[in-house]
Amino acid sequence: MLARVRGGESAAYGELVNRHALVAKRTAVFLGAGADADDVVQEAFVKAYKALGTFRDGAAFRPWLLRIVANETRNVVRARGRRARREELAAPLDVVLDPAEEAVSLERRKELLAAVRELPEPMRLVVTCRYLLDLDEQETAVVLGWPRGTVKSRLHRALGRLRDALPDKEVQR
Amino acid sequence: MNLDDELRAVGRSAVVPPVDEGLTAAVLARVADLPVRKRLRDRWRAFVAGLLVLMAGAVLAPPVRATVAEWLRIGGVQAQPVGTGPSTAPPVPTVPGHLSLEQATRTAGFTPARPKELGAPTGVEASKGFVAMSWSGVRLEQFESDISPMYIKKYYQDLEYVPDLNAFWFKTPHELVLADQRVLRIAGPTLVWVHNGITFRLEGVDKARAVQLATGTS
Repeated sequence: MLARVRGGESAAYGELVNRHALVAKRTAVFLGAGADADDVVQEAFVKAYKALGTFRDGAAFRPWLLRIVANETRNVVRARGRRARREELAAPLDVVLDPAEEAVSLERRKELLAAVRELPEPMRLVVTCRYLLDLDEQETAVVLGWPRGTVKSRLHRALGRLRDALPDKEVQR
Repeated sequence: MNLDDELRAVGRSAVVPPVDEGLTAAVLARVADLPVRKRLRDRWRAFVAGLLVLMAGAVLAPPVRATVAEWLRIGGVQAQPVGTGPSTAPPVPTVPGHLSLEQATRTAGFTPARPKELGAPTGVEASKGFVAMSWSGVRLEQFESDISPMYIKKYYQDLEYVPDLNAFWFKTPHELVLADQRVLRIAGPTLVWVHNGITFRLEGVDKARAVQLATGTS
């Protein structure tokens, strides 16, 4: 697929866009793009296309794309910070939880989400990528641009903090 | 449940507005005239990469190769191998609706097939391109196979191929995931096959019985 795109078949890029649009949007929203998420996603796909020449053969496309989405989201969030009416701005993990998910109660999920929001930024980012977006460790490292060891240690510390913030719930069930 | 699994559940259940419908068209329009930057050494790299793939193919151990091959699409179902899976599945959900087969045909836009020997289903429901019906303990879903898969089945043991039907038997319980990554439920052993552009999922019976019922489905 990538070979076809690089070979000049730009229409083939449409298939890549379709395939990754959903996870790109989820990433943008989870990282705080809010109402700008669609713009962020579109911009990220255009930038990714332009940068395809630097994409390493055999690397995974998804984390590489999501890294661009994450950077683009950061730009948007920063640009907003300079605007005035902060209270109307979307925050990271500003999402509604579907009550129908059965594995974990809505109440418990709300607690978890609130606790993740309270984490310091690097920890929140790593939990968002690794668990909320369910990327693997290598993908998380690529998206955040950190060494794998850093992903591991920050994740470990983040889970520790979450456990402290949510006393005993795990043990009780 | 572990904290990490709970967090995954939070992520899965977070509702994100649908992707802007015009996204692909907008991106393609914007990149139509842009050249992809290409470097000369890319050609050399492509050659080396191709060579490596050939060499890797030659030395991969057979089980590994089997795993690579089993990422496959069966009509509207994407089979995705995973390392571990659930050991049990809840009972097969019965279909609550009570549409007649005519109503289901009208809603789905195609005439649903059914296993003749089971007789009239006890429940039928339908949506555009999709019909589900059930008999006691047996559930049959059929849907038009689209360009993108409707379900992803995360299975962790071998798929068994049933040559007569060109079908695949998922012999262990597995996560049934919607194409948007939402986990639907844990499904039990299931037979999946495609006929005339319609994908069928039959769940609730053992393999021999499933093959028998599938053979008599029309």
